[in-house]
Amino acid sequence: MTGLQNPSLTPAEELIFGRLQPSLTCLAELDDVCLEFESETGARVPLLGGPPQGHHIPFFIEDSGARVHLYFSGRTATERHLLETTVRTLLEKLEVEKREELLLDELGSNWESLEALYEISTDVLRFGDVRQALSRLIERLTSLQDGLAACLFINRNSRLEPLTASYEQPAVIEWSDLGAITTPIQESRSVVINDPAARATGDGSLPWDTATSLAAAPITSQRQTVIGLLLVWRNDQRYILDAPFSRLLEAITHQASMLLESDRLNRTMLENDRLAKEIEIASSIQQTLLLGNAPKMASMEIASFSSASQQIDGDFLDFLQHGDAVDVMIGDVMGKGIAAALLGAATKSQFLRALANLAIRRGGLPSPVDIVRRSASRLGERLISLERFVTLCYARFDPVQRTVDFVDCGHTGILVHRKNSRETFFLRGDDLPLGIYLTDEWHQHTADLMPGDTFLLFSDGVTETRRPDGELFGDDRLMECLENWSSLGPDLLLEKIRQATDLFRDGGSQTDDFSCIALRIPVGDRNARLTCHQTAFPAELDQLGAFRDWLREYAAGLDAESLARLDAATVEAFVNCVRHGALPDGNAPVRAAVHGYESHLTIDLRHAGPPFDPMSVPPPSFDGSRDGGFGTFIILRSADEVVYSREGGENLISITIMRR
Amino acid sequence: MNLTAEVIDNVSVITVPGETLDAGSAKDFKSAMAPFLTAGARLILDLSQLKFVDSSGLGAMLSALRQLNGMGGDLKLCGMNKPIRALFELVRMHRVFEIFNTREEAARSWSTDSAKI
Repeated sequence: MTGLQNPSLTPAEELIFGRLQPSLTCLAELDDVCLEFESETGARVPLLGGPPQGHHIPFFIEDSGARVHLYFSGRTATERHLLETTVRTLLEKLEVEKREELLLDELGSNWESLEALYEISTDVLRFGDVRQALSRLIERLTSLQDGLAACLFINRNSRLEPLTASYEQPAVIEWSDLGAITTPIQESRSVVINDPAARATGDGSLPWDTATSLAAAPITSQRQTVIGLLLVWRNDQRYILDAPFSRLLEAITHQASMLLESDRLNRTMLENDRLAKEIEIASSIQQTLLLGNAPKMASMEIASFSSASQQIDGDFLDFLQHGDAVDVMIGDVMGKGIAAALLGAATKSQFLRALANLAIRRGGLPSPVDIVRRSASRLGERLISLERFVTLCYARFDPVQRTVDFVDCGHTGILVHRKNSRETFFLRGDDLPLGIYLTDEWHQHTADLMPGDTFLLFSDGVTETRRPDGELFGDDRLMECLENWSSLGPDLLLEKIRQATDLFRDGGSQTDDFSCIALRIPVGDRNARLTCHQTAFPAELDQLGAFRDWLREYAAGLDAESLARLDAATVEAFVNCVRHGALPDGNAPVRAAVHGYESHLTIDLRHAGPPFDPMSVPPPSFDGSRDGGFGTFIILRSADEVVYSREGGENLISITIMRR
Repeated sequence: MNLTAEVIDNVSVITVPGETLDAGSAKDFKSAMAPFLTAGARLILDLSQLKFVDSSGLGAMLSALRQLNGMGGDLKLCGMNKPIRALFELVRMHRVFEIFNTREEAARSWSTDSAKI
């Protein structure tokens, strides 16, 4: 987000445009296809390809005056249809994303709604029975304002059966009894009607026939089909049901949907206890509201992993990519259950709002400390009144400036493993969590970011993983994981951390949320290869000397320490090729290539043999009880990057060492 | 591989020949070591000729150490260059082996041990 790039677009349109553009890259290879964005005022901005000619199909973007125009020439009827469907699907996806964000935004902006929801969720947890929980939900909802009445209907055999209601003896109704509401609900949209004339009123036999305002929201199953609705109404012309109320209703039906869904799961799997249901609900909130997806970037590799515990504590994380840089936010709400999860969602949304507001006002990207200050000023008092606090780390990784700017509010810090100096250390700030004191004092710290660095952000659930004897996993074991596995890259590193903590837990249950983000800065530019030498060696152990001599010739320029690591890693890899590459008709040769780059050397070894998975190798024993099992460990620890892959039925191991 | 031992005060010092002890030579080394692994033997491996050791070479030394320890003997190491020392530290074998700079220091360690007793 670097301010407005297209002055002819409104900020809202700019947002749609920015979202749309990356998703259209799937059409970029079709050179005769052109897409244009048209703003409400008629200004046109090219989205893809050009110039506009041939067939023309306009698309409207819902809830805005903006349009997208598709142009293409030639093509068969089927191709045309496919193209049209693709664009339509992309626009619909955008629409869904927008609605989700709006919901979050409203929840974050309207603290009263959030507090109500928060109390409701806390309450709902106390009831084991879904009907009881739902009727409590209705009771709380109707007590929010005077004169509200509500009923929750479930679709059975194409009729609507009341499951719970705020009034006595609710009756089964037909879909058609709902009048103008029927269509939007069946299409999974919520609806508010404040003008009685706008809906076909019934004959006065139904309780809401005389209502002045009426709102309804659909209840959907996990497969997104409508399984019922929540209807709320009031008979008092002085009040209307407004948009925030409608959002609150959506949030509540979202919860009702999850309650019903998990109840269904419960009944199909009787061994599921109530706890499992809670996890189901809370992880559903977590998946939809709390966890952002790690972006795919050329300037760095990012992976994230999160798993909800039996007592969700509301871990949340998010990413915001801008150019080659990325902002990462990770946080943890103190407290448990759905309530904590919702609070996490509200905090996250507050940060996104703060960022957007500051960016629009200043026409540029605000600094992490400004984002934290603004969010904290809006959250602090409310968190204090709820007696909750939130630990959080907001960090900006900029590989161009080679800096990490971060604000650490009582979170776990950022763990760094630097290949260049082979050091592992923490970056920490000393600000307090949000919700402890009201303060404007927040501190931003700046640290170096270097090629080959791996950064790890995590929740305390990782280091507080507990062994049955009470011992904690701790910082040291996490640092060791980082040192042992970071050369395999963020994805496999996180998988290894999970494996290690699972192993450590030794069958015990996960009591905390577990979130982890890993970022790796590439060792250098892989497109600028300077040299390449290839040869093949018979797959015999007595070839080790010849292999080392050959490699040394092309490894000139490496310092002694790097050369020793190159030696250690490649010899182990060569030996593995010989030992595990046996074929029935004798060993195929080991083919070696050394690629020289300005910043690093990469050695490829290819050999036939069964597929090899480095993740399946057990850790070595360090007590001297076994002679072997060190090979893979030595490779991963000595090299700066290691990639194991399979190419044309062969194993390929690529070992990279940086020039220092 | 031919190994010869120089005996000083009941301690045998074996200089490992060649520049490398790796997967290509570890097997030879193990069989050449076998005659020296006797009950109660005190051995010092002098590694000062070696420029490179890999995990197989390290494993061969580890095997000798375990056999000796099982028979009331001991094996100490000396004369490691920097990369070999780094490899030992990486797999934490510096905590399993007693490592000295010179053969004299290694030999002396036995006499100080017995002096303590």
